Amino acid sequence: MFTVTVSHLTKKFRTHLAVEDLSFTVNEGDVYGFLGQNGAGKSTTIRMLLTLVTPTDGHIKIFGLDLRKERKKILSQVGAVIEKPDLYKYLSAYENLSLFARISGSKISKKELYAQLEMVGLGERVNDKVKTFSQGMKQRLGIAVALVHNPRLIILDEPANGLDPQGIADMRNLILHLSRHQNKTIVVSSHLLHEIEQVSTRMLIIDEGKKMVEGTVASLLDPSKTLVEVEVHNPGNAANLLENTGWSKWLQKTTETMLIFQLPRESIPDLNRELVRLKIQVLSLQAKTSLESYFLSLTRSKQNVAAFTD
Amino acid sequence: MWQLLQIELFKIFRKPRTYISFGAIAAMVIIIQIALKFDGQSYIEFIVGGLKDSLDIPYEHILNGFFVCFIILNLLLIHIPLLIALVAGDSIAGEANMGTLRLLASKPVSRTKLMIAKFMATVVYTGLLLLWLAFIALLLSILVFGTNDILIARNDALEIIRSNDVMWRYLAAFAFATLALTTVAALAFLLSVFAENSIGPIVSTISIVIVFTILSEMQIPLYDRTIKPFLFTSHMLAWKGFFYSKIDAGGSSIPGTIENLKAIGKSAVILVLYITGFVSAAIVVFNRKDILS
Repeated sequence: MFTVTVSHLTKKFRTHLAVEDLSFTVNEGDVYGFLGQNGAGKSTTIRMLLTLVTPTDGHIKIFGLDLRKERKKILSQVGAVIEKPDLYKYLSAYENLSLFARISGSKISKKELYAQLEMVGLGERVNDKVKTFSQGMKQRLGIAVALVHNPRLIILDEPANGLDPQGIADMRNLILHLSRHQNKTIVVSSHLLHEIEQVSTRMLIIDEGKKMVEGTVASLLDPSKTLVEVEVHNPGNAANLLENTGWSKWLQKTTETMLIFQLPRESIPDLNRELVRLKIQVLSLQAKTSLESYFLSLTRSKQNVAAFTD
Repeated sequence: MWQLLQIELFKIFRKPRTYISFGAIAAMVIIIQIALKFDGQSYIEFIVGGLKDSLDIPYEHILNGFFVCFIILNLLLIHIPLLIALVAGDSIAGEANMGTLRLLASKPVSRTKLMIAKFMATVVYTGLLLLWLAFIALLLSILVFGTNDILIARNDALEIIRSNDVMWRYLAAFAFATLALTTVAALAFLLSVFAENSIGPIVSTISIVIVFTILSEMQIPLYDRTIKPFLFTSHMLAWKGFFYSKIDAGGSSIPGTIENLKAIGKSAVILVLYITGFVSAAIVVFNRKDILS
């Protein structure tokens, strides 16, 4: 059963198309990575999942229910940290948690609230006002608020933002713990590939509001789909030389400076030998996993997007 | 709904800014009381104007708690809207600015209920502010100045209301003032929906109240029929009507009467319509709003 089903979702802000015909599904128990550059449409999509933004077109189903019709029922089982974990600064950690527990319809006891704060490492600061907290502590309190009503689906929008390396590691461990030990379904967005790679079971890359690629992390990191960028003096001529060899089937694209191959990782030495045999002057050779390469191509230049097809 | 209201009230009364209004009212009232205690006679002479030479005015009787409270209300009820705007203008925009609005709106609560709870909390705040004003302006004045008949100046004439006929008029006046100030709260609440920080709606509300008040007070025949009857500020001071009683043949006020209850009722209806309009518009806009803060 799909926990989240997004179909042909579109959001237009006046003239700006923030999300365009986006479709994806999140399975129960997934840690679903939502990857894209800043401004790619991740936050808008997440806000639509949380009914903060109304879609221009398309449908969202969560737990098999229509989000528009069953909003209250669905949101009572969803917890979220949206961008920064902004909370009431003039209230204490306990007061914030208690307040959001009540709004979420949770009848959690005082003892359980304290335990929740203990779990996120704020046991010593329960009665301190949030305005005295560091960014990391606010993030942890935000997580406690997201979890206080024991939701089935957790949505984390850029949870590593503003955290120090230890905070990022703690966040990663928490996501893995929630997924493995509490069987939560988690949607986590980030503009950092390695963050998503380390926690996700499935992921989607979004750019300019459009889905670029979706799949399991294992398949997207498949070594048989290694992308090899070979910088040569005259790529056109080199491509001609390769045409009558078996290597032409691996050649994906020829640019002004490069030959781009997609091939199994173990074939790279053979390719190198063949290039030398054909007296093609190689200036550089870079091998990347297809996902890394693809994501870099997005962040470097939109022109390179076509170099990869899933 | 009750739980949401409790939460909203909890947030309002845990915010230090809330108490600025209570402090400001206390300070202003006490300043006026001190001034009247030490130089009340000059103020009464100013009110009675040319009549002071033709009448033997018993200053010590006139300067009593009821009269002092009436003066305070006249002076302050024009300015209290500014204090109301501080909290009402912050209700949505303040949450947007803090970043808590997106968290609130992603909870399993309908936006309409959330808005109603927020507005109800603002109304409770307005009511408590007026209760505080009543306590400090009426009860403290009674304690300091005692009670006696109250002298009301209207259209170059003076009217005396007996001391045993005053208290109910104050209760009615404070109730009406709550309605009048709730109108200002509703306006600030509506403007708050459009903003991402509370300064905008607070300043806008104050500006609208000032402009409307000036228009209401202007003596221009063209505006008297066309604009003034429709401005909420023209009806906000209708509370004074509770102190204008019917006059008998001998020129004395008739206890327990109000000269123009119909006009007060009409003003109340207009204010209720304004409140309904402002709050409904706020709910409609908020329900359609994309929360991007």
